Amino acid sequence: MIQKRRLKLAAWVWLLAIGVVLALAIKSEPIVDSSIMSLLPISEYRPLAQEAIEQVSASFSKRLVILASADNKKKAQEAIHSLAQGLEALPEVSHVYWTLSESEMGEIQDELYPYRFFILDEATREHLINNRFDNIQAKALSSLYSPLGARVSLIDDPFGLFGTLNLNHQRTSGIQVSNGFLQVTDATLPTYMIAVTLAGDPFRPAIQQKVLGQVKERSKVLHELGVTLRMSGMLLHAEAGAKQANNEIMTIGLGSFLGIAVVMLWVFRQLTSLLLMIVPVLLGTVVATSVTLLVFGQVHLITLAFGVGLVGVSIDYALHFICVRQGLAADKVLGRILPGLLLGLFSSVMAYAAQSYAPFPGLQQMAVFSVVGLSASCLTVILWFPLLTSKVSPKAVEVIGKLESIRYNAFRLNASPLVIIVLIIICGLSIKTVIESVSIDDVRLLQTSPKTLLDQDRDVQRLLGGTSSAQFLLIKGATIEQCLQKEERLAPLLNGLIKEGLLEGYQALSGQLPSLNRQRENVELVKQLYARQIAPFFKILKIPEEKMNEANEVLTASQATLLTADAWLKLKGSGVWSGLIVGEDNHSAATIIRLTGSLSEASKLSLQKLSENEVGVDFVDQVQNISNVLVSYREEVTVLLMLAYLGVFLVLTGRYKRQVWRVVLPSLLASVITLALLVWLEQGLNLFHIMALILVLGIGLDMGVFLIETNGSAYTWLAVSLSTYTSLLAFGLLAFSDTPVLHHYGVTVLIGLVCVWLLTLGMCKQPAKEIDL
Amino acid sequence: MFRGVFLTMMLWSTLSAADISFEQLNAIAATPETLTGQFRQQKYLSELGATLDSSGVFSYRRNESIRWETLTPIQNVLTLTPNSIIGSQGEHEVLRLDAKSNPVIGVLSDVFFSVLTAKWGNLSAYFSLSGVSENGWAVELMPIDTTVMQLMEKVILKGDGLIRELTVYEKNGDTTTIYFENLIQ
Repeated sequence: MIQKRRLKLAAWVWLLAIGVVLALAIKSEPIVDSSIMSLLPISEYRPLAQEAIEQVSASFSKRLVILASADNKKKAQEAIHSLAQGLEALPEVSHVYWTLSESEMGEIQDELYPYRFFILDEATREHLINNRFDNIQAKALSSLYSPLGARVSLIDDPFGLFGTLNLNHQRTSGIQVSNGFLQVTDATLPTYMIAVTLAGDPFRPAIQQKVLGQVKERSKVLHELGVTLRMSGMLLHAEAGAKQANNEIMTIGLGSFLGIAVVMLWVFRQLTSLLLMIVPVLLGTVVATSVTLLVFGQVHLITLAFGVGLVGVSIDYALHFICVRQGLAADKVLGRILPGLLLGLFSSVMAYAAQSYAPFPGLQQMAVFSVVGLSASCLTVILWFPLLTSKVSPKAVEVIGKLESIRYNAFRLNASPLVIIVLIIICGLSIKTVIESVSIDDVRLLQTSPKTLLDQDRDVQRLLGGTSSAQFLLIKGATIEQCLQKEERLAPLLNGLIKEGLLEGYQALSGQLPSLNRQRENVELVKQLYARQIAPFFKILKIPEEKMNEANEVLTASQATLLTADAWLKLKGSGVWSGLIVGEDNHSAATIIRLTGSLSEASKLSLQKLSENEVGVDFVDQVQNISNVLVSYREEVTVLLMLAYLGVFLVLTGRYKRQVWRVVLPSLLASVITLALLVWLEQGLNLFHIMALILVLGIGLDMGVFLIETNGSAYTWLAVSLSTYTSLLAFGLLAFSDTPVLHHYGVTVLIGLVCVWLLTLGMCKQPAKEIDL
Repeated sequence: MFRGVFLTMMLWSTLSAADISFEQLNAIAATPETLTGQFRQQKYLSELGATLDSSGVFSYRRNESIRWETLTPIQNVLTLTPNSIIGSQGEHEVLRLDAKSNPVIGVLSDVFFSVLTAKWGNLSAYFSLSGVSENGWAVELMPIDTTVMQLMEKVILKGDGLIRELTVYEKNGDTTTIYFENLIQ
């Protein structure tokens, strides 16, 4: 009696605990993450490169770029104006960059004026190095006598070095200031840009709704006016991901739930049994989601979609309870099934925990989600089912009979040597297919965004001369100065690649801020220019000699202060480029060289070679890194799986002796055949196919072990068949997911579980007699 | 940079109060398909108190190109198209500017074209106009476009059937005056 009261108390405490966890999770504002980046392995890559990657991607993730195009400038400018004003008013947006007055631009340009003898345009420098001083003079004269001549001071900068530099600085970006607007220069129609910096994480639903909600609303109005908007930014992918998650939870989740519900109703002919089964599943999912949110601060789209699959597995506990309840009083059931329940929970928890072995944060979330979810539903069954089922007693009479009849009449695979030979041939052919197959370990596996969005992204990035956040050169040195010098040694090689057509372009810090070394060189070159050319130049202009002396004095006077990195960082105009410095402290510094356009295999190879020429230079290719990691984990998980089979075989042989094949062979054969079918269906295998085979192993073993342990009881056969069915619906329906990872997992489970059930049927012991209930 | 600019001619004649509009100018000033002639250019540099004199020949084809050849004191050919400005001396190209990558160049090119071909409609996008028509016409153009405002203070044009004189006042006090002579349509 006391024990009963204690149990009752524990049940209510458990319910209270669930309530508290749920409340805490809701308070923490749930975030659904769909970024590929957070799925990426925690890298074993050199830490500096990792820091660089993170810095590049962090600034990338909070940025939203909007381009507005129309057939006339005015329309496009008005669209930009109204959009920008709307966005500026939002608290979810921290900064909107859409206008730059000509005077501000002038200010930014003039910042470098004091350094005009230190920072030279590349072509000018080339002329000076090769003593082509007359060339510089010709250019200066041409612009001086041109009706469109430049504003120059013949005293401060007679050869117009600063003007030339400014022109070419401007040419390096895809954006020009026009009438105060940021015009995209390479677009066919008049196109202007807004760059939005978000105030928070792009995965926050509130930010997605407010910012994109407003833009999309305006976009409809603008579209009617003939203005087209194009956008690029993590926010869009985040929103698409969240939408997809919602859709898939609605369709796949609902589909699998309905499929399970209908069959359960049909099997048990009772609404109460169905409701009983929903309770632990529901609570398990709620607790799992809440705990994952609290532990990770967010739930990944893939975890969530995968979590829906938990439905299938956690329903097992309820199923076992209900099946046993048919022949026992409610308070006696627990005593009977508790050991089995805990054993089942333990083995499942171990299987899922193994997933966290893969260093993907996404998979680690899944492991936590599954372990917590399964434990919570198991606890719910243990604590609440004795109370809930004290008055009802479900019956599953008819189905047991039918299932038993199937099992009794099933074709035994060990019936004749011919069948065994056929099996061996099938097995051999499957292994051959798998060995000869190609593997597809591509970063696209992790891609969750729809193609249209990716295309639009690429389009915008192309127009803006956008650079990849995943592929760049990392330059390491003891100081920024060292990095800059290395960059300057690389520049001719990179320019060579551009000439060969292997590279579209690049952005380097040294292009904005030459090394102090280079600055000293430059000023020496300018001195030579003055010494050789200033007299003839002033003579052509018929300007008195004393003015020439003044010009010489200006040059001498401006030699004092070089442009240091610290001084440069204080300039207004450096803001755009400061992201090229990725790390600086007292002992080390690092910069990156951003690469424009998409890189071919040949380009990558030459960049790799080029980086090997210079100490402290790495070609960071995150795309390739990811693919490499996928390859190595596919191989490791494959080995792990084989070891698991071997271990299971050895352990179970001790217990089941010569019967062990009935337990191990179904899942082993099913896995091999599934892989072969996958090669045929999906043109290749990847990590996620192999991971799904862990589930096939788990469920196959469960079936075999339970059947042999209960001496082939009819209730056990019902329970394992139903649990295969629920897992099939829960995971197998993921095959219809648009998220590649889930799709691959789902297809594998779908085929694997069907095979495992059929093979178990053919390999289990024939029941003593066909029961007739 | 081409921030300070342009053509000049000192046209200190007083402009009378009789207003003239872009439309009226359209009626007076011809917009020939082609035009060739000579020019004299005086560039006054306020910093030095000196004037750079040059002269040469020019020719233009409407909407296509302007060839601006300086003969003295240096030999320099400037070729303007609506999309680019190319400067060359002898066989050497010394300057190449693309309007696409540099809108300022686009604006300058457009203004220069419009002035020479008397495309007043185009100019009205960049300037407000006041002026007189008396023995030909003389107009003062005040920039309204922010890009142009950065480049020049005002422009004064004088002509009869064709343009005869042009002066650009820059912000720093420099002026550029161009006299057009021996014009042949």
